[in-house]
Amino acid sequence: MNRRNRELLASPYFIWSIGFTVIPLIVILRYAFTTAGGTFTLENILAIGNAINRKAFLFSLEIALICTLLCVLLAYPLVMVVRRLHISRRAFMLFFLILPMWMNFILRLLAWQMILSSNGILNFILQAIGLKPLDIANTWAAIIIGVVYDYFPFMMLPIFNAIADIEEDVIEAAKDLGAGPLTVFTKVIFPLSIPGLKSGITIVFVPSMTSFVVADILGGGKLQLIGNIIEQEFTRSSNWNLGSGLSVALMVFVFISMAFTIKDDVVREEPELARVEGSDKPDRRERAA
Amino acid sequence: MKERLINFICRFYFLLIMIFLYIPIAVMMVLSVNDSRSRVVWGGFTLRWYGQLLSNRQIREALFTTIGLAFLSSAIALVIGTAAAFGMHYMKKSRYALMMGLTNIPMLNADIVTGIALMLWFIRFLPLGFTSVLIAHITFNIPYIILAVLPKIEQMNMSVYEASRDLGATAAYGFFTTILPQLSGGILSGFFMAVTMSMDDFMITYFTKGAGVNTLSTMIYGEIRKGIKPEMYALSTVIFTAVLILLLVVNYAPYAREKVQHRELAQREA
Amino acid sequence: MDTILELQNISKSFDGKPIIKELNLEIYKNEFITLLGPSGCGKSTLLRIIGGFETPDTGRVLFDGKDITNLSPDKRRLHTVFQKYSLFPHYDVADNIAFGLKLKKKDKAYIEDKVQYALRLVNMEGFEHRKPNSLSGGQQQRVAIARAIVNEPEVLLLDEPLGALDLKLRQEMQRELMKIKKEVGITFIYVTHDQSEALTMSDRIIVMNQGIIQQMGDPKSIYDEPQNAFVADFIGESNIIDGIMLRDYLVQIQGVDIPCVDIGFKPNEKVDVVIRPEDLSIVEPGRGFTIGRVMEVIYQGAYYDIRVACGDFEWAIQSNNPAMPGSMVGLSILPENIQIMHKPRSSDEQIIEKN
Repeated sequence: MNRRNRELLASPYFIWSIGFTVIPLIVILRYAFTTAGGTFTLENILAIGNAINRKAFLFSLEIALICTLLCVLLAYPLVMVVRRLHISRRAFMLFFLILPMWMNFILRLLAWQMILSSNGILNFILQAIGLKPLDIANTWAAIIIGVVYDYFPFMMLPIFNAIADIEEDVIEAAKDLGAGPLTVFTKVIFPLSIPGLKSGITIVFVPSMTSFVVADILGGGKLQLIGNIIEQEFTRSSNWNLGSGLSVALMVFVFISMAFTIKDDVVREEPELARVEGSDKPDRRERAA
Repeated sequence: MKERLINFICRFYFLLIMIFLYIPIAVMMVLSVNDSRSRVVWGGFTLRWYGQLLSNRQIREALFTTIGLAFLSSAIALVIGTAAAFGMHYMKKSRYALMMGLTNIPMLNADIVTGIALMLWFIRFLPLGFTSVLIAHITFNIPYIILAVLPKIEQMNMSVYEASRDLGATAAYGFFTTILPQLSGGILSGFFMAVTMSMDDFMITYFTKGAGVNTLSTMIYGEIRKGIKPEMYALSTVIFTAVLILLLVVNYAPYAREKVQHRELAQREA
Repeated sequence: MDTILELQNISKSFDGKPIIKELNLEIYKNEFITLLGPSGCGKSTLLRIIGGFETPDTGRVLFDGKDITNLSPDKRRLHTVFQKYSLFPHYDVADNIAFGLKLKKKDKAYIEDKVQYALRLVNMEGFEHRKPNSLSGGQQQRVAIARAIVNEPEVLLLDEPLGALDLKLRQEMQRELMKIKKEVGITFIYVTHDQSEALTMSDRIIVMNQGIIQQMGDPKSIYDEPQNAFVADFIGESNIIDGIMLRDYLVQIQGVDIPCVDIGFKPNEKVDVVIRPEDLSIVEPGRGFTIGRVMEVIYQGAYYDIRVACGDFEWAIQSNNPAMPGSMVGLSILPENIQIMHKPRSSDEQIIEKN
């Protein structure tokens, strides 16, 4: 087979992508820019500015920012701890982080509802050790715990992988040149983990804004994410055009903000540090070109 | 002294995260042996929910749908995705970037938008049901396969394949004996990831499933207000435990074997 | 000579497997000392102990007379050049070199100055703003050397720094390293398994095997007077054959008595006899100390590599003239080129012999 024919191996996927990724996006765009009668309108998109929608959107944004930040703040110490305790086998980490997903998604959230409820397990423990019970059921704090719980593995894994890729030699070289533990982290480990951090943010931020199930179960139905509003347009109000409009507004926001955080990294096949080891070899893109 | 304190703090932090990740699972396991239909009352220990597990037709159907969907969609995604990864490996930069962009759309887009967009498209030509959910799952599974297999292809040693051809192997025989084994790690982890994501998906299934079909997730979601059947806790515990055992065997059996071999070798030398 | 580093009674084992056994060594100011040995002999571990990346199980490391055994690497006045270069991939060349100076909070002009000096020293002017992954292996190693030297360490540790380079580049870099050593005038501790590299560059060579020092001395003495069969075998090619020391000045090999210059052995003591291939000459049959059949002749450019079988022993000979394969020849040797060694006695030495 020559290269031309080998490239054709990707054609089923290409056709699939057009059929079930690109066309659906065109369809949703069409709904978004038309009324139920079929005439062109911008109202569905601009509806994101309505009082209720804007409130939900800003609330989602707040939740997503806090959750993403919390995931980052939990992940880095864990990566360093794991490194220090030499639990650095990738297979084990994947196993450890992915396994909880095999307990059903909705049931996990229901379990959190029970843990956080006013007469739940958390308060039972708090009272047992003589602390005041917390009233976090049906608050934004409960939503945040639920979202962080769901998406923490997706922040942890890419950061862990990026840091596991750093050659021990490079870290030893930093120590050798006079860097203490903190400097090693700020000057070497953190900068080299940035590709992983970026992909973690990409994976965690968007779903954090839209997990309407989490808000349903842990927010007690009172707090609405933009996801809840969109869902209701399709299930209860049956205003598909408006629902599509809000979805598209969300999508546009996501792609713009991602464009700022990750720039060209999305399309690049591997983070830079993956190439460090084989740097004598020519870059694969150059070879293909 | 200071070292030991730091090590202690490290272990403590690891333990905290472990509790955070696994406490909801422990809660569900406790509920699965609770002899009460209420979630907040402890009615004593029972195994009857396990006994009744499969006598409920709805649960049985949802379970088969969920598992069938996960494996079928992952298997189809595996074939399409692996072929795509090979094709992309040989592409020039511009076309490669285009394909990578297509791959990133479902990864970047909110699940809710993906689900709604697919639903709006399906209703034009396909009754919502098992097939539509299957297509949706294949669509979001392919990127997981590609992202797992592509790096392995990049690292692959092509000269082994060429050597096999040189020694008289056909293209197909050479592929299955030299290339596939090198990729098996990536393919397996991609497949596992895809099955996991498919089993755990709620959002996309919810929008593309139509009336008659239920997976475990959508079924439980529908029951929240009526009250969850305790059999569900039992079923989820069974699934979780089965996967735990499977992963333990897959992950640690090779190492255990290696250890035994090491010991035997050491004894022989001594 | 002033001692800068002193290793006292160092032992280290991993998973119960001893890597270094009660090793003592003094390293002097400004010398180029090479730790030479096969992989797994403990030389790299020893270097890592000096660098502070491993702590010995027993023993002490003294630097300028002060105990630094438990000091972390960042607090030691010595720097390491790693085999895999270990440049920081996210910094350009200049930032890599400036890393240590910035940590010491030196002012900008000083850093700029030193970076330029270091780049000149390793012949890398003009590469300031290149990223490491755009450099070749040799260039990366030059930057790694500059990055260490710029901090003015009193001792530079080099862990097989040329191991990943091809032969021609390696020889070029050897010359360059000696030049740099001369210019900066500090102690170099160099680890390698390449005996020609060690012989070319070192003031002193420490030959290690199985975690113990087999021999130390200047390159010439190591090459000319190996003290045991391991060193003889490891340094260059040698014919090592069983012999019996009949009395002073007379050794018997394969039943033939041959005059030599060695004394001080017990009468009839079993010994190892070491003869370098280039010291043997091919003569008419019957004129040398033994007769054998030419098994193989390989042209090596500067000489012929000839194998001659005598009984169950095959001699290696380097000769300027070819021989006819299959023909019978004699071998002769000058008495002063015969090296007689005691047979190994301790178990460690026996292990050495087996290798």
